[in-house]
Amino acid sequence: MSANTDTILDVASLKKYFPVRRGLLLRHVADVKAVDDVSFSVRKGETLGLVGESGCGKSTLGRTIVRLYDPTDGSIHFKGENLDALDRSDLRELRKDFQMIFQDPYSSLNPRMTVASIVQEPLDIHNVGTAAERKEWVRELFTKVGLKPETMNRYPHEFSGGQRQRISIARAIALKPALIVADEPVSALDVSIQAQILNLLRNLQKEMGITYVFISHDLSVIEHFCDEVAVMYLGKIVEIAPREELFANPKHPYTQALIRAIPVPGDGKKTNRETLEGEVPSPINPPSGCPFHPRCPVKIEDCSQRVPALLPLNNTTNHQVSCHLYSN
Amino acid sequence: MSEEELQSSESQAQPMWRIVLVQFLEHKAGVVGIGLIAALALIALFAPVFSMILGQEPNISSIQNRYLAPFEKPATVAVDMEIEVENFIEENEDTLEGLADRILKSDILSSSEVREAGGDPEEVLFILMEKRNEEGVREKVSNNDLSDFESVIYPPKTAGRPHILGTDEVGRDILIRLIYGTRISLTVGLAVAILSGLIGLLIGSLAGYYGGVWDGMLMRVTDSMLALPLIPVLIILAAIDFNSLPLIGGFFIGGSSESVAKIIVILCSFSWMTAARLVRGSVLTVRNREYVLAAKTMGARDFRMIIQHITPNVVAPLLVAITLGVGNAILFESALSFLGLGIQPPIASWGNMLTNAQELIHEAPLLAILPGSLIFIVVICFNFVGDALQGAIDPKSIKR
Repeated sequence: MSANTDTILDVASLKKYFPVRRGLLLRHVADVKAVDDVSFSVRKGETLGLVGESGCGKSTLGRTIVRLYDPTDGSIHFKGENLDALDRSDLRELRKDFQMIFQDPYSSLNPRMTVASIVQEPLDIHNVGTAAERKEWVRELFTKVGLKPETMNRYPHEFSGGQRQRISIARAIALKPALIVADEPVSALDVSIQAQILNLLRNLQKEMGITYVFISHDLSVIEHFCDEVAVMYLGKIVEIAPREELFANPKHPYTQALIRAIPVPGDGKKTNRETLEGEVPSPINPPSGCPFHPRCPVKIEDCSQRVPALLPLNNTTNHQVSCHLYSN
Repeated sequence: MSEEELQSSESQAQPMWRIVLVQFLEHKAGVVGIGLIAALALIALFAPVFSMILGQEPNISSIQNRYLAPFEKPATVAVDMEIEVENFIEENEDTLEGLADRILKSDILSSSEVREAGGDPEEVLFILMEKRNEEGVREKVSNNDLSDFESVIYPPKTAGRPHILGTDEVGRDILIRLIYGTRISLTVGLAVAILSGLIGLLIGSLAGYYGGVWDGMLMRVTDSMLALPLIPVLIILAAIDFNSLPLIGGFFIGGSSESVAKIIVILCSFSWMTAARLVRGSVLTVRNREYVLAAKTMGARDFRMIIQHITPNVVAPLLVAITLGVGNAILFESALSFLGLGIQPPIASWGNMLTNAQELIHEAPLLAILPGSLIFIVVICFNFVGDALQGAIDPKSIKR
């Protein structure tokens, strides 16, 4: 996909390896290939869902996008700017425009600060407005995320998990960012609270035109929330498609297995669904060829030989899949 | 709701220290502990004032008044006979003429005894004083015209101030020594705990923040230090004369407080390891906490990260470790002083007060019981305070 005008985020062959060091001299012995050659782009105001098992590199990908980690290779273009080419102060300035929401609402808020000062912190960092204006905006943000402004002088421990996640969201939208990377924002919450938070995120998206990169391991949440879905396995995107297309017509055997694994409410009888066997291989030493082939129910000879490329399924859709079954 | 109403209904932000204080006050043992420590610290601070009020000095010994029971008054004030006699002779030279004759006449001394003195009035006086306690001598002195000399031969008995807790094996007042010992033991305890906490903070944060080779090196040193058998090493170190060492010798505090400075240095160099490990651990955890990552995504500079997010969450557990470390340092100081390698007499410390007490544990048990129970009380108090502090500063334990 080329970077057209309404593309806000364009990631091209992004790699993030973590070195494994051993011994007294900390020799570099191997790499954990957490993100391995990932490319995608997101249009303004839309939501891209990143889904995969734990350890597949989706959180690392999210953190690399917001530059918590420096990428090993590849490029990230945000609003047409190459984040790698920016110097420190320009990157700092651009950070106003992309924020992150974290998974654990208990460790994402500093326990020794009042929630008002937590929400105000991004404003302080970037020196936005006068002190009175900041206070006023913080109050408004509290209302926006559905919290009572009277509670803003309390400490995080006085809030419930859902309320804390609302505080995280208030902090993330304080600078009116264009992009928010949400790393499993609801997976630590009760199901009833999950829906509230998802609705809040969606309302904010409509109101402020925010683009989301939404990371989750929960396909039903992804189905509810995202416009486009990328399925990750062992540091690679194995399939990416618009939501309806992906759920109606999954192509990659891994995606098919994931969708089959979504629990369906029923009469309590056990259904004989095929589930995946085996464990996710180590990202230090991934299998040859297609990383999924050791667990793939429909593997062919080619799978252990060649690495499949992420290719469009056909010319009419933007459904891309990385599997030898469809490469012809 | 109008703006004004909103303001008034808003609860005021409670500063963190007040929350911690309220939490701390809920721990009864901790409150009692800090009260006792504060009282002892005040007494130690004003030790010279107590010395004045009680009329006792910590290092004045008196052979006549060894092992006095509590509240017993010293029998006599020690007087140097020779000096008294010389002063008397100098002041009363004219009255000394004919002293020998008068003594002969009074029949106190025989003529041979006077002759032995060679007519020297000083010698005669000494002989007279030696005989002063013999029967009838005092009457003879006052009945014959020797009453001028009565004051020097029989110095007035001035009873001293009572020793509230009695005296030790060289007649020193125990109470004032305990007060001065509190001074030394608390100073050593606090200084060692704080200094080793700071060393630990430095080493731990270097290791935690920079990681990699630094971490490996510093932590291996820490591990090796922890593996040393502490008591034997401390004994060997305590036997070294720091002033004679090259380099540091020149800067080392000499004089009467040398042994105090020395024990602080020795104990510090062997008690920073726990603090270093603790700080490294906290830095590592805090550095990867999501709120620190969040601040990073917001574009926070290093300064803000360290001041606002990392330091408070590292210093809090360190504070607890330092408090608990005071008790430990006091125990080690006592142990070394007890072995005669710590605080050197005549400076009093609880430990070296115990040293001499052990030989006479049956005859004078108070000598051991008093400093021993002070050590016990203070150490347990510091542990309670540390416990209370731990509960108070851990935000997770904060109740709604």
